[in-house]
Amino acid sequence: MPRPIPASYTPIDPQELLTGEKLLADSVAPLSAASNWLDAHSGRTDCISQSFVYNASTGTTPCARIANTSATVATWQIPELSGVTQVFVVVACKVRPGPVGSNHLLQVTSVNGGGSFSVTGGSGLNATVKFFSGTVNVAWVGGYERINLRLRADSVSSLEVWSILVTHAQPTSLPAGRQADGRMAFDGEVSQDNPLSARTMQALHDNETAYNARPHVAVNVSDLQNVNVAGQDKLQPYQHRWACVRMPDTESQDRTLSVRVTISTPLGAGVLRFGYAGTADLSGEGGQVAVQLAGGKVRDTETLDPVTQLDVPSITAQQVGMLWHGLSLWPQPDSATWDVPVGTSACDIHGVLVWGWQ
Amino acid sequence: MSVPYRGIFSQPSQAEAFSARPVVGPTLAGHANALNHLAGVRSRHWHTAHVTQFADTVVAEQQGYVSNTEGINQTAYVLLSLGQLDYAIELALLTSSLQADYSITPTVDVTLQTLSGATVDRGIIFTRADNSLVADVRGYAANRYRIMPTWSRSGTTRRPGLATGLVKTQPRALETDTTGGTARGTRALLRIDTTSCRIHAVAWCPVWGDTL
Repeated sequence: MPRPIPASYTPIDPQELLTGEKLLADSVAPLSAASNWLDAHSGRTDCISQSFVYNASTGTTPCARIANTSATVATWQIPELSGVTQVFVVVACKVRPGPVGSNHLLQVTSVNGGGSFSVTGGSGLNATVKFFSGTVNVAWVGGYERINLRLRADSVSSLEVWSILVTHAQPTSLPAGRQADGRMAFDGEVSQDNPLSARTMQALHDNETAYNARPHVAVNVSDLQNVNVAGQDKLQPYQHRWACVRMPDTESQDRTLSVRVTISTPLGAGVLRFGYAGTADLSGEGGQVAVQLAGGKVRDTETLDPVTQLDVPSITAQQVGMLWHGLSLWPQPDSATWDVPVGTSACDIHGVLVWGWQ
Repeated sequence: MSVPYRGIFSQPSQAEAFSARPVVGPTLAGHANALNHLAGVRSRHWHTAHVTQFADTVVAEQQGYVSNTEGINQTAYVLLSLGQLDYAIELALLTSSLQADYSITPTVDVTLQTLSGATVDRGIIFTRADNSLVADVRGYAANRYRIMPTWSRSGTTRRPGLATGLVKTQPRALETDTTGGTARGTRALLRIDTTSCRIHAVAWCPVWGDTL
Protein backbone atom coordinates (compact mmCIF):
# COMPACT_ATOMS: atom_id res chain seq x y z
CA MET A 1 0.00 0.00 0.00
CA PRO A 2 1.29 3.51 -0.74
CA ARG A 3 2.20 5.76 2.13
CA PRO A 4 1.43 9.13 0.57
CA ILE A 5 2.82 12.43 1.82
CA PRO A 6 0.11 15.04 1.22
CA ALA A 7 1.31 18.06 -0.73
CA SER A 8 0.04 20.40 1.96
CA TYR A 9 -1.29 20.31 5.48
CA THR A 10 -5.06 20.36 5.79
CA PRO A 11 -6.06 21.54 9.26
CA ILE A 12 -8.58 19.33 11.01
CA ASP A 13 -11.48 21.03 12.74
CA PRO A 14 -11.99 19.19 16.04
CA GLN A 15 -15.57 20.42 16.16
CA GLU A 16 -16.46 18.24 13.19
CA LEU A 17 -15.45 15.17 15.17
CA LEU A 18 -17.55 16.01 18.21
CA THR A 19 -20.76 14.60 16.82
CA GLY A 20 -21.56 12.35 19.73
CA GLU A 21 -22.13 9.53 17.25
CA LYS A 22 -20.08 6.46 16.56
CA LEU A 23 -17.47 7.49 13.99
CA LEU A 24 -16.32 5.43 11.05
CA ALA A 25 -12.87 5.32 9.58
CA ASP A 26 -13.60 7.47 6.56
CA SER A 27 -14.61 10.34 8.74
CA VAL A 28 -11.17 10.50 10.29
CA ALA A 29 -9.01 9.80 7.25
CA PRO A 30 -7.76 13.42 7.47
CA LEU A 31 -6.04 12.45 10.72
CA SER A 32 -3.88 9.87 8.97
CA ALA A 33 -3.13 12.30 6.15
CA ALA A 34 -2.09 14.94 8.69
CA SER A 35 0.11 12.40 10.46
CA ASN A 36 1.88 11.47 7.23
CA TRP A 37 2.42 15.14 6.35
CA LEU A 38 3.96 15.74 9.75
CA ASP A 39 6.21 12.71 9.30
CA ALA A 40 7.76 14.49 6.33
CA HIS A 41 7.78 18.06 7.65
CA SER A 42 8.02 18.32 11.42
CA GLY A 43 11.49 18.85 12.81
CA ARG A 44 13.20 19.12 9.44
CA THR A 45 14.49 22.58 10.12
CA ASP A 46 17.88 24.24 9.89
CA CYS A 47 20.76 22.40 11.61
CA ILE A 48 23.43 24.85 10.48
CA SER A 49 23.08 28.33 9.07
CA GLN A 50 26.20 30.42 9.23
CA SER A 51 27.10 33.46 7.21
CA PHE A 52 30.59 34.82 6.56
CA VAL A 53 30.17 38.52 6.08
CA TYR A 54 31.57 40.36 3.07
CA ASN A 55 33.30 43.53 4.12
CA ALA A 56 33.68 46.26 1.54
CA SER A 57 36.88 47.46 3.20
CA THR A 58 38.66 44.12 3.12
CA GLY A 59 37.03 43.08 -0.14
CA THR A 60 36.51 39.52 0.96
CA THR A 61 34.89 37.27 3.56
CA PRO A 62 36.63 35.65 6.56
CA CYS A 63 36.03 32.18 5.07
CA ALA A 64 38.49 32.26 2.19
CA ARG A 65 41.37 29.93 1.33
CA ILE A 66 43.99 30.39 -1.37
CA ALA A 67 46.33 27.48 -0.57
CA ASN A 68 46.51 24.67 -3.09
CA THR A 69 45.85 22.00 -0.47
CA SER A 70 42.56 20.81 0.92
CA ALA A 71 41.88 21.64 4.57
CA THR A 72 38.96 21.75 6.95
CA VAL A 73 38.03 25.36 7.61
CA ALA A 74 34.89 24.90 9.71
CA THR A 75 33.23 22.08 11.64
CA TRP A 76 29.86 21.64 13.33
CA GLN A 77 27.98 18.92 15.17
CA ILE A 78 24.29 18.34 14.46
CA PRO A 79 21.83 16.38 16.62
CA GLU A 80 20.15 13.20 15.45
CA LEU A 81 16.74 13.24 13.85
CA SER A 82 15.52 9.67 14.04
CA GLY A 83 15.31 7.97 10.67
CA VAL A 84 17.25 10.63 8.77
CA THR A 85 20.14 9.33 6.68
CA GLN A 86 20.89 12.43 4.63
CA VAL A 87 21.24 16.15 5.16
CA PHE A 88 20.55 18.76 2.50
CA VAL A 89 23.27 21.35 1.95
CA VAL A 90 23.29 24.76 0.28
CA VAL A 91 26.46 26.85 0.02
CA ALA A 92 27.02 30.29 -1.44
CA CYS A 93 30.57 30.68 -2.75
CA LYS A 94 32.83 32.13 -5.45
CA VAL A 95 36.48 32.44 -6.45
CA ARG A 96 38.26 35.78 -6.12
CA PRO A 97 39.54 37.26 -8.37
CA GLY A 98 39.27 34.29 -10.70
CA PRO A 99 39.32 32.53 -12.99
CA VAL A 100 38.39 29.19 -11.47
CA GLY A 101 41.05 26.52 -11.82
CA SER A 102 40.95 22.76 -11.91
CA ASN A 103 42.16 22.59 -8.32
CA HIS A 104 39.42 24.70 -6.80
CA LEU A 105 37.32 22.42 -4.62
CA LEU A 106 34.70 22.96 -1.93
CA GLN A 107 33.57 19.92 0.01
CA VAL A 108 30.95 19.43 2.69
CA THR A 109 31.66 16.11 4.37
CA SER A 110 30.16 14.02 7.16
CA VAL A 111 32.49 12.21 9.55
CA ASN A 112 30.30 9.30 10.64
CA GLY A 113 28.36 8.84 7.42
CA GLY A 114 31.37 9.29 5.18
CA GLY A 115 29.30 11.42 2.84
CA SER A 116 30.54 14.22 0.67
CA PHE A 117 29.14 17.01 -1.49
CA SER A 118 31.56 18.80 -3.81
CA VAL A 119 31.63 22.03 -5.79
CA THR A 120 34.19 22.59 -8.55
CA GLY A 121 34.59 24.56 -11.73
CA GLY A 122 32.62 21.83 -13.40
CA SER A 123 29.74 22.59 -11.07
CA GLY A 124 29.61 26.17 -12.33
CA LEU A 125 31.87 27.75 -9.73
CA ASN A 126 33.25 31.08 -10.97
CA ALA A 127 33.96 34.65 -9.85
CA THR A 128 30.30 35.43 -9.08
CA VAL A 129 28.57 34.34 -5.88
CA LYS A 130 26.42 31.32 -6.72
CA PHE A 131 24.37 28.82 -4.77
CA PHE A 132 25.15 25.12 -4.92
CA SER A 133 23.06 22.43 -3.28
CA GLY A 134 23.24 18.70 -2.72
CA THR A 135 22.89 15.96 -0.15
CA VAL A 136 25.36 14.31 2.21
CA ASN A 137 24.87 10.90 3.80
CA VAL A 138 24.97 10.97 7.59
CA ALA A 139 25.14 8.45 10.42
CA TRP A 140 24.56 9.10 14.10
CA VAL A 141 27.06 8.21 16.79
CA GLY A 142 25.99 9.07 20.31
CA GLY A 143 23.14 11.09 18.84
CA TYR A 144 25.32 13.38 16.74
CA GLU A 145 26.96 13.72 13.34
CA ARG A 146 29.87 16.02 12.51
CA ILE A 147 29.78 18.14 9.37
CA ASN A 148 32.99 19.62 7.97
CA LEU A 149 33.53 22.34 5.39
CA ARG A 150 36.73 21.82 3.42
CA LEU A 151 38.34 24.15 0.88
CA ARG A 152 41.13 23.93 -1.69
CA ALA A 153 42.22 26.69 -4.09
CA ASP A 154 45.05 27.04 -6.58
CA SER A 155 47.47 29.52 -4.96
CA VAL A 156 46.23 32.21 -7.35
CA SER A 157 42.54 32.81 -6.68
CA SER A 158 40.93 32.25 -3.29
CA LEU A 159 37.88 30.09 -2.85
CA GLU A 160 35.51 32.20 -0.79
CA VAL A 161 32.41 31.02 1.09
CA TRP A 162 29.64 33.49 1.88
CA SER A 163 27.13 31.24 3.57
CA ILE A 164 26.21 27.64 4.35
CA LEU A 165 22.89 26.00 5.20
CA VAL A 166 22.39 22.40 6.34
CA THR A 167 18.96 20.93 7.00
CA HIS A 168 17.67 17.44 7.71
CA ALA A 169 16.63 16.23 4.26
CA GLN A 170 12.92 15.78 3.65
CA PRO A 171 11.80 12.33 2.57
CA THR A 172 10.13 11.74 -0.75
CA SER A 173 8.40 8.62 0.57
CA LEU A 174 7.61 7.22 3.98
CA PRO A 175 9.05 3.95 5.27
CA ALA A 176 6.93 0.90 6.00
CA GLY A 177 6.57 -0.49 9.47
CA ARG A 178 7.34 0.87 12.89
CA GLN A 179 10.44 3.07 13.12
CA ALA A 180 12.96 3.34 15.93
CA ASP A 181 11.21 6.32 17.46
CA GLY A 182 7.84 4.57 17.44
CA ARG A 183 6.20 6.33 14.52
CA MET A 184 4.52 4.41 11.73
CA ALA A 185 3.27 5.88 8.46
CA PHE A 186 -0.34 5.26 7.48
CA ASP A 187 -0.77 3.38 4.26
CA GLY A 188 -4.48 3.77 3.79
CA GLU A 189 -5.58 1.05 6.17
CA VAL A 190 -7.67 3.52 8.10
CA SER A 191 -10.39 3.25 5.49
CA GLN A 192 -10.51 -0.50 6.17
CA ASP A 193 -10.58 0.03 9.90
CA ASN A 194 -14.32 0.13 10.32
CA PRO A 195 -15.19 0.80 13.09
CA LEU A 196 -12.04 2.47 14.35
CA SER A 197 -9.81 0.25 16.38
CA ALA A 198 -7.45 0.71 19.24
CA ARG A 199 -4.62 -0.14 16.85
CA THR A 200 -5.18 2.95 14.76
CA MET A 201 -5.52 5.11 17.85
CA GLN A 202 -2.29 3.70 19.23
CA ALA A 203 -0.51 4.48 15.96
CA LEU A 204 -1.76 8.06 16.06
CA HIS A 205 -0.66 8.38 19.66
CA ASP A 206 2.81 7.00 18.97
CA ASN A 207 3.26 9.19 15.91
CA GLU A 208 2.30 12.34 17.77
CA THR A 209 4.70 11.44 20.57
CA ALA A 210 7.53 10.88 18.10
CA TYR A 211 6.93 14.14 16.22
CA ASN A 212 6.81 16.03 19.48
CA ALA A 213 10.22 14.70 20.46
CA ARG A 214 12.11 15.87 17.39
CA PRO A 215 15.08 18.17 17.92
CA HIS A 216 15.19 21.78 16.83
CA VAL A 217 18.53 23.54 16.54
CA ALA A 218 18.52 27.11 17.83
CA VAL A 219 22.05 28.04 16.79
CA ASN A 220 25.17 26.30 15.48
CA VAL A 221 28.47 28.17 15.23
CA SER A 222 31.94 27.24 14.07
CA ASP A 223 35.17 29.18 14.10
CA LEU A 224 37.48 29.18 11.09
CA GLN A 225 40.83 27.45 10.64
CA ASN A 226 43.23 27.26 7.72
CA VAL A 227 41.84 30.39 6.07
CA ASN A 228 43.76 33.26 4.50
CA VAL A 229 43.68 35.63 7.46
CA ALA A 230 45.01 34.23 10.71
CA GLY A 231 43.31 34.72 14.06
CA GLN A 232 39.86 33.47 13.05
CA ASP A 233 40.25 30.21 14.96
CA LYS A 234 38.17 31.27 17.97
CA LEU A 235 35.21 33.51 18.62
CA GLN A 236 36.27 37.09 19.14
CA PRO A 237 35.95 38.45 22.70
CA TYR A 238 32.79 40.51 22.42
CA GLN A 239 29.42 39.33 23.66
CA HIS A 240 28.01 36.92 21.11
CA ARG A 241 24.26 36.67 21.29
CA TRP A 242 21.75 34.37 19.70
CA ALA A 243 18.03 33.84 20.08
CA CYS A 244 15.83 30.84 20.69
CA VAL A 245 12.11 30.25 20.97
CA ARG A 246 10.64 28.98 24.21
CA MET A 247 7.49 26.95 24.06
CA PRO A 248 4.56 27.68 26.33
CA ASP A 249 4.34 24.05 27.48
CA THR A 250 4.15 23.70 31.20
CA GLU A 251 6.25 20.58 31.12
CA SER A 252 9.84 21.50 31.79
CA GLN A 253 11.19 19.35 28.97
CA ASP A 254 10.02 21.84 26.40
CA ARG A 255 11.98 24.59 28.07
CA THR A 256 15.16 22.56 28.22
CA LEU A 257 18.15 23.37 26.03
CA SER A 258 21.00 21.06 25.16
CA VAL A 259 24.26 22.99 24.86
CA ARG A 260 27.64 21.85 23.55
CA VAL A 261 30.54 24.30 23.44
CA THR A 262 33.94 23.56 21.91
CA ILE A 263 36.68 25.17 23.99
CA SER A 264 40.43 25.35 24.58
CA THR A 265 42.30 26.45 27.69
CA PRO A 266 45.81 27.33 26.46
CA LEU A 267 46.43 29.67 29.39
CA GLY A 268 45.53 27.19 32.11
CA ALA A 269 42.37 26.39 34.03
CA GLY A 270 39.43 28.59 33.20
CA VAL A 271 35.69 28.87 33.25
CA LEU A 272 33.01 28.74 30.59
CA ARG A 273 29.94 30.89 31.20
CA PHE A 274 26.85 30.42 29.06
CA GLY A 275 24.03 32.93 29.33
CA TYR A 276 20.67 31.35 28.69
CA ALA A 277 17.85 33.46 30.05
CA GLY A 278 16.67 36.32 27.94
CA THR A 279 16.08 39.68 29.40
CA ALA A 280 13.98 42.34 27.78
CA ASP A 281 16.76 43.04 25.28
CA LEU A 282 17.52 39.40 24.43
CA SER A 283 20.98 39.77 25.91
CA GLY A 284 20.99 36.37 27.54
CA GLU A 285 22.25 37.94 30.73
CA GLY A 286 19.31 36.92 32.89
CA GLY A 287 20.76 33.56 33.91
CA GLN A 288 24.07 31.84 33.50
CA VAL A 289 25.67 28.41 33.68
CA ALA A 290 29.31 28.29 34.74
CA VAL A 291 31.54 25.29 34.05
CA GLN A 292 35.02 24.99 35.51
CA LEU A 293 37.60 23.91 32.94
CA ALA A 294 40.98 22.30 33.45
CA GLY A 295 44.04 23.69 31.73
CA GLY A 296 45.46 22.17 28.57
CA LYS A 297 42.20 21.40 26.80
CA VAL A 298 42.41 21.61 23.03
CA ARG A 299 39.14 21.89 21.14
CA ASP A 300 37.29 19.78 23.67
CA THR A 301 33.51 19.63 23.45
CA GLU A 302 31.92 20.57 26.76
CA THR A 303 28.39 19.25 27.16
CA LEU A 304 26.53 21.42 29.62
CA ASP A 305 23.89 20.03 31.92
CA PRO A 306 20.44 20.54 30.39
CA VAL A 307 19.52 24.17 30.76
CA THR A 308 16.01 24.93 31.90
CA GLN A 309 14.88 28.35 30.81
CA LEU A 310 13.32 30.46 33.49
CA ASP A 311 10.23 32.59 33.51
CA VAL A 312 12.00 35.80 32.71
CA PRO A 313 10.90 38.54 30.33
CA SER A 314 11.15 37.86 26.64
CA ILE A 315 11.60 40.46 23.94
CA THR A 316 8.25 39.61 22.51
CA ALA A 317 5.30 37.34 23.03
CA GLN A 318 3.68 36.09 19.87
CA GLN A 319 0.38 34.34 19.44
CA VAL A 320 -0.18 30.97 21.11
CA GLY A 321 2.36 31.84 23.75
CA MET A 322 5.70 31.60 21.94
CA LEU A 323 8.51 33.60 23.51
CA TRP A 324 11.91 34.68 22.22
CA HIS A 325 14.78 34.22 24.60
CA GLY A 326 18.38 35.30 24.45
CA LEU A 327 21.52 33.17 24.62
CA SER A 328 25.02 34.52 25.00
CA LEU A 329 28.71 33.72 25.27
CA TRP A 330 31.40 36.27 25.93
CA PRO A 331 35.01 35.13 25.51
CA GLN A 332 37.28 37.01 27.88
CA PRO A 333 39.24 39.95 26.49
CA ASP A 334 42.83 40.61 27.39
CA SER A 335 42.72 42.18 30.84
CA ALA A 336 45.92 44.09 30.13
CA THR A 337 44.12 46.17 27.55
CA TRP A 338 40.47 46.13 28.55
CA ASP A 339 38.33 45.80 31.60
CA VAL A 340 36.90 42.32 32.05
CA PRO A 341 33.12 42.53 32.26
CA VAL A 342 31.13 40.31 34.58
CA GLY A 343 29.93 37.21 32.79
CA THR A 344 32.86 36.68 30.46
CA SER A 345 34.42 33.27 30.03
CA ALA A 346 38.09 32.51 30.61
CA CYS A 347 38.79 30.17 27.72
CA ASP A 348 38.91 30.08 23.95
CA ILE A 349 35.59 29.24 22.30
CA HIS A 350 35.61 27.49 18.92
CA GLY A 351 32.03 26.40 18.45
CA VAL A 352 28.55 26.42 19.92
CA LEU A 353 25.56 24.14 19.39
CA VAL A 354 22.26 24.85 21.14
CA TRP A 355 19.22 22.74 20.51
CA GLY A 356 16.12 21.70 22.33
CA TRP A 357 12.52 20.50 22.14
CA GLN A 358 13.10 17.00 23.27
CA MET B 1 -10.89 26.79 6.53
CA SER B 2 -9.26 28.51 9.48
CA VAL B 3 -8.73 26.23 12.44
CA PRO B 4 -7.31 27.36 15.81
CA TYR B 5 -4.33 25.51 17.22
CA ARG B 6 -2.81 25.40 20.66
CA GLY B 7 0.69 26.29 21.77
CA ILE B 8 0.66 23.44 24.26
CA PHE B 9 0.95 19.81 23.22
CA SER B 10 -1.58 17.40 24.68
CA GLN B 11 -2.88 14.04 23.53
CA PRO B 12 -5.86 11.87 24.40
CA SER B 13 -4.93 9.21 26.93
CA GLN B 14 -4.13 5.83 25.49
CA ALA B 15 -6.73 4.31 27.78
CA GLU B 16 -9.47 5.96 25.72
CA ALA B 17 -8.74 3.53 22.91
CA PHE B 18 -8.07 0.42 24.95
CA SER B 19 -11.62 -0.72 25.60
CA ALA B 20 -13.78 -2.72 23.25
CA ARG B 21 -16.16 0.15 22.74
CA PRO B 22 -15.90 2.18 19.55
CA VAL B 23 -13.69 5.20 19.56
CA VAL B 24 -15.84 8.30 19.88
CA GLY B 25 -15.62 11.93 18.92
CA PRO B 26 -13.81 13.47 21.89
CA THR B 27 -10.87 11.09 21.50
CA LEU B 28 -10.54 11.89 17.82
CA ALA B 29 -10.96 15.59 18.47
CA GLY B 30 -8.10 15.28 20.93
CA HIS B 31 -5.93 13.75 18.23
CA ALA B 32 -6.97 16.52 15.83
CA ASN B 33 -5.84 19.11 18.36
CA ALA B 34 -2.54 17.29 18.85
CA LEU B 35 -1.87 17.08 15.11
CA ASN B 36 -2.83 20.73 14.58
CA HIS B 37 -0.46 21.72 17.37
CA LEU B 38 2.37 19.73 15.79
CA ALA B 39 1.75 21.34 12.41
CA GLY B 40 1.41 24.81 13.90
CA VAL B 41 4.52 24.53 16.05
CA ARG B 42 6.83 21.65 15.18
CA SER B 43 6.72 22.07 11.43
CA ARG B 44 7.55 25.77 11.69
CA HIS B 45 11.09 26.97 11.11
CA TRP B 46 13.12 29.26 13.35
CA HIS B 47 16.85 29.56 13.82
CA THR B 48 19.66 32.01 14.48
CA ALA B 49 22.36 32.36 11.84
CA HIS B 50 25.69 33.44 13.25
CA VAL B 51 27.45 36.00 11.06
CA THR B 52 31.20 35.55 11.33
CA GLN B 53 33.23 38.73 11.40
CA PHE B 54 36.91 39.17 10.68
CA ALA B 55 39.05 39.31 13.78
CA ASP B 56 39.89 42.96 14.27
CA THR B 57 43.44 44.03 13.62
CA VAL B 58 43.14 47.69 14.65
CA VAL B 59 44.93 47.99 17.98
CA ALA B 60 42.10 49.80 19.69
CA GLU B 61 39.71 47.08 18.61
CA GLN B 62 41.85 44.00 18.49
CA GLN B 63 40.41 42.57 21.66
CA GLY B 64 37.12 42.32 19.90
CA TYR B 65 35.57 45.43 21.35
CA VAL B 66 34.17 47.36 18.48
CA SER B 67 34.70 51.04 19.15
CA ASN B 68 33.92 52.46 15.76
CA THR B 69 31.73 51.32 12.90
CA GLU B 70 31.82 54.50 10.84
CA GLY B 71 32.19 53.66 7.19
CA ILE B 72 32.04 49.91 7.72
CA ASN B 73 29.74 48.57 5.03
CA GLN B 74 28.98 44.88 4.98
CA THR B 75 27.00 42.35 2.98
CA ALA B 76 25.78 39.12 4.53
CA TYR B 77 24.09 36.29 2.68
CA VAL B 78 22.00 34.34 5.18
CA LEU B 79 20.56 31.08 3.91
CA LEU B 80 17.45 29.75 5.57
CA SER B 81 14.71 27.21 5.06
CA LEU B 82 11.06 28.04 5.53
CA GLY B 83 8.25 25.71 6.46
CA GLN B 84 5.18 25.22 4.34
CA LEU B 85 3.09 27.00 6.97
CA ASP B 86 5.50 29.92 7.41
CA TYR B 87 3.68 32.67 5.51
CA ALA B 88 5.64 35.47 7.15
CA ILE B 89 8.68 35.72 9.40
CA GLU B 90 9.75 38.04 12.15
CA LEU B 91 13.42 39.04 12.10
CA ALA B 92 15.82 40.02 14.83
CA LEU B 93 19.19 41.44 13.77
CA LEU B 94 22.15 41.57 16.11
CA THR B 95 24.25 44.55 15.06
CA SER B 96 26.75 47.03 16.38
CA SER B 97 26.79 50.63 15.24
CA LEU B 98 27.39 54.04 16.68
CA GLN B 99 24.63 55.56 18.77
CA ALA B 100 25.59 59.13 17.96
CA ASP B 101 28.43 61.28 16.57
CA TYR B 102 28.35 59.59 13.21
CA SER B 103 28.64 61.32 9.87
CA ILE B 104 26.96 58.51 7.94
CA THR B 105 23.63 57.36 9.34
CA PRO B 106 23.84 53.64 10.15
CA THR B 107 21.35 51.53 8.20
CA VAL B 108 20.64 47.86 7.52
CA ASP B 109 18.71 46.73 4.42
CA VAL B 110 17.14 43.27 4.30
CA THR B 111 15.64 41.54 1.25
CA LEU B 112 14.15 38.05 0.94
CA GLN B 113 15.02 36.29 -2.31
CA THR B 114 14.72 32.86 -3.82
CA LEU B 115 17.96 31.05 -4.60
CA SER B 116 17.28 31.66 -8.28
CA GLY B 117 17.28 35.40 -7.68
CA ALA B 118 13.59 36.31 -7.61
CA THR B 119 12.68 38.95 -5.05
CA VAL B 120 10.02 37.54 -2.74
CA ASP B 121 9.85 40.51 -0.38
CA ARG B 122 11.25 43.83 -1.48
CA GLY B 123 12.54 44.26 2.02
CA ILE B 124 12.86 46.50 5.00
CA ILE B 125 15.32 49.09 6.31
CA PHE B 126 16.50 49.42 9.87
CA THR B 127 17.98 52.85 10.51
CA ARG B 128 19.11 55.05 13.34
CA ALA B 129 17.16 57.90 11.77
CA ASP B 130 13.84 56.38 12.92
CA ASN B 131 15.31 54.44 15.85
CA SER B 132 14.46 51.07 14.33
CA LEU B 133 18.18 50.22 14.47
CA VAL B 134 19.08 49.92 18.13
CA ALA B 135 22.51 50.71 19.55
CA ASP B 136 24.12 50.29 22.95
CA VAL B 137 27.38 52.15 23.48
CA ARG B 138 29.02 51.70 26.86
CA GLY B 139 31.72 53.99 28.10
CA TYR B 140 34.91 52.61 29.52
CA ALA B 141 37.47 55.38 29.62
CA ALA B 142 38.39 58.50 27.75
CA ASN B 143 38.41 57.82 24.02
CA ARG B 144 37.77 54.20 24.72
CA TYR B 145 34.30 52.70 24.64
CA ARG B 146 32.64 49.66 23.26
CA ILE B 147 29.63 49.22 21.05
CA MET B 148 27.65 46.28 22.39
CA PRO B 149 26.02 43.98 19.84
CA THR B 150 22.33 44.78 20.18
CA TRP B 151 19.15 43.27 18.78
CA SER B 152 16.77 45.15 16.50
CA ARG B 153 13.45 43.50 15.62
CA SER B 154 11.15 43.74 12.66
CA GLY B 155 8.02 43.11 14.70
CA THR B 156 5.17 40.84 13.68
CA THR B 157 2.97 43.29 11.83
CA ARG B 158 2.17 41.96 8.38
CA ARG B 159 1.79 44.36 5.42
CA PRO B 160 1.65 42.05 2.38
CA GLY B 161 0.93 44.93 0.04
CA LEU B 162 4.29 46.49 0.83
CA ALA B 163 6.26 43.33 0.13
CA THR B 164 6.03 43.83 -3.63
CA GLY B 165 6.19 47.61 -3.59
CA LEU B 166 8.80 49.70 -5.32
CA VAL B 167 10.78 50.61 -2.25
CA LYS B 168 11.90 49.06 0.99
CA THR B 169 9.85 50.03 4.00
CA GLN B 170 10.27 50.46 7.71
CA PRO B 171 10.61 47.18 9.61
CA ARG B 172 7.66 44.77 9.43
CA ALA B 173 7.31 41.02 9.10
CA LEU B 174 8.73 39.69 5.83
CA GLU B 175 6.30 37.93 3.49
CA THR B 176 7.41 34.55 2.18
CA ASP B 177 4.87 34.00 -0.60
CA THR B 178 4.18 36.90 -2.95
CA THR B 179 3.63 37.60 -6.62
CA GLY B 180 7.40 38.05 -6.87
CA GLY B 181 8.04 34.44 -5.88
CA THR B 182 7.70 32.00 -3.06
CA ALA B 183 10.16 30.93 -0.43
CA ARG B 184 7.57 28.97 1.56
CA GLY B 185 8.46 25.32 1.95
CA THR B 186 11.91 25.72 0.46
CA ARG B 187 15.32 27.34 0.95
CA ALA B 188 15.83 31.03 0.47
CA LEU B 189 18.24 33.91 0.91
CA LEU B 190 18.12 36.85 3.28
CA ARG B 191 20.39 39.43 1.70
CA ILE B 192 21.56 41.97 4.24
CA ASP B 193 23.49 45.14 3.36
CA THR B 194 24.74 47.50 6.02
CA THR B 195 26.06 51.05 6.07
CA SER B 196 28.34 52.01 8.97
CA CYS B 197 27.19 48.93 10.84
CA ARG B 198 28.45 45.45 11.63
CA ILE B 199 26.06 42.53 11.67
CA HIS B 200 26.69 39.65 14.08
CA ALA B 201 23.62 37.40 13.93
CA VAL B 202 20.23 37.09 12.28
CA ALA B 203 17.35 35.32 14.00
CA TRP B 204 14.00 34.54 12.46
CA CYS B 205 10.82 32.87 13.55
CA PRO B 206 7.44 32.54 11.93
CA VAL B 207 4.64 34.94 12.60
CA TRP B 208 2.79 32.17 14.35
CA GLY B 209 -0.73 33.49 14.17
CA ASP B 210 -3.35 31.62 16.17
CA THR B 211 -5.03 29.64 13.41
CA LEU B 212 -3.91 27.30 10.66
